[in-house]
Amino acid sequence: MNNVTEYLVKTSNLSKSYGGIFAIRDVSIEINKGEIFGLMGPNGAGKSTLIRILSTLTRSSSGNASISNYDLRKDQRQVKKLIGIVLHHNLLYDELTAKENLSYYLRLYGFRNKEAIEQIIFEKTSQFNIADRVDDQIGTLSSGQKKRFDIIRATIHNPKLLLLDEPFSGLDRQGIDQLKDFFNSTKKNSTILFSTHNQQIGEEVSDRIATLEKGRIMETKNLR
Amino acid sequence: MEDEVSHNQVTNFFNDAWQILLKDLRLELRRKYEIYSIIILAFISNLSFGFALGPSNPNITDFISGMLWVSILFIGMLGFTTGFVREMDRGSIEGLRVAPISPQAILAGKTVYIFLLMCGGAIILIPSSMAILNYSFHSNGFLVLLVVALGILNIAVIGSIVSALAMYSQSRALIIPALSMPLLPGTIIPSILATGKLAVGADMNSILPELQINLAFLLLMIAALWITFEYVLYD
Repeated sequence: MNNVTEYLVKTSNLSKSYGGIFAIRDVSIEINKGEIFGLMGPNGAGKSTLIRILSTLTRSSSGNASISNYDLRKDQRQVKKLIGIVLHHNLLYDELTAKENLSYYLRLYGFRNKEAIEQIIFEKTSQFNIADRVDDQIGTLSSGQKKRFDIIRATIHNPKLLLLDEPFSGLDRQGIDQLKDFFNSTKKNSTILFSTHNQQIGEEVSDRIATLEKGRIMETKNLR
Repeated sequence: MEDEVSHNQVTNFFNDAWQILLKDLRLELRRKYEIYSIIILAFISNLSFGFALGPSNPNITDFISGMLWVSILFIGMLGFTTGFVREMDRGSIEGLRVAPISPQAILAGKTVYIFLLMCGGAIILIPSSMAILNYSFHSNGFLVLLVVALGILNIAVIGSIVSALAMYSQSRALIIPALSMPLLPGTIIPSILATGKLAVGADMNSILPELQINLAFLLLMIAALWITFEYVLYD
């Protein structure tokens, strides 16, 4: 029986070093389709590095990683089509409106039809209760609103894998609850890998967590 | 089937480059910092040379080409930093790096943006210098346009790559001019020579060698960048 598609994300002995200092070391994880996987650990544990490697933003020093059986080094263009990423800072342009930003990213992902683009933007922003702010320039929004638009940007092309680096930071209680709801509704179509240093939120949200310390995975735990 | 795939790749390339260009132009029109800087620089440059040389200087044609290209170069330097460095500073470069688009499309979009920004500067600079310094190009308008456009395109290509190389560095204020220095003479010298000839009424045949050198330089730069830009952007 062929079980090569069992995992959406698979890494084996993944390491990244900067001048001999390891940011992550021999990280081997497998993440199932539709799973919400939390990366826990203190600052400097290597969570962001692992997310950056899986997003193709950083190249690993050694080891292998694949997403949906596409090798991260060899099949970068294919991998990029499958992922969406939310980083510490938002990837939106302050001088453009939220709609212009989202439309720009949708077009970079190959969407052409103007009506379809507007429909997608309306649906996604309605899900986060900010459809009424799409015509506002990003620079005029609060940090929480920017964060929500940035999450919409990352998911607007319906990625198979959503990577989020500290997505809960900077959100108020309402934002956190909306994001949790969003995770649960998104897991039907996407796998979610996120990092947080907040143990309580991590355990509330995740199906499984891995705890990183000094670049190594110390423990993985099933929660659901 | 293969034709269809390559046709799609070409369409995607132009579409992606167009989206990046459109976004940069929209940002520029909203901020206007570079536009104002270019207008101010063009007028200060013209006024300075106007006072130095005096109005209706009979030897103006000896100086005008050098003066124009020095000013165009400084306008270009303003544009260089808005290419990749601005994306890096605001962190949005990572949005481009994770998007499933060709790195060459990013380069093309950024280069055309710098080219248009510099052309805007030249459109202000050249007519105002003709008015202030009281000279003309002897009905060689089209040839001046050709020489200036080709020279600016070369500078824009150099600016894109230098801006991309410098964006990861803390000392980019030094790196941008230092990396530009060995590359710019390849296009500035023929551009100055051709503009100088046009200022004294030369025709197309007289400036053909300079145009050929500039065109060859452009093709060489594009070929080199096409091959290496992916490594510049991602490594």
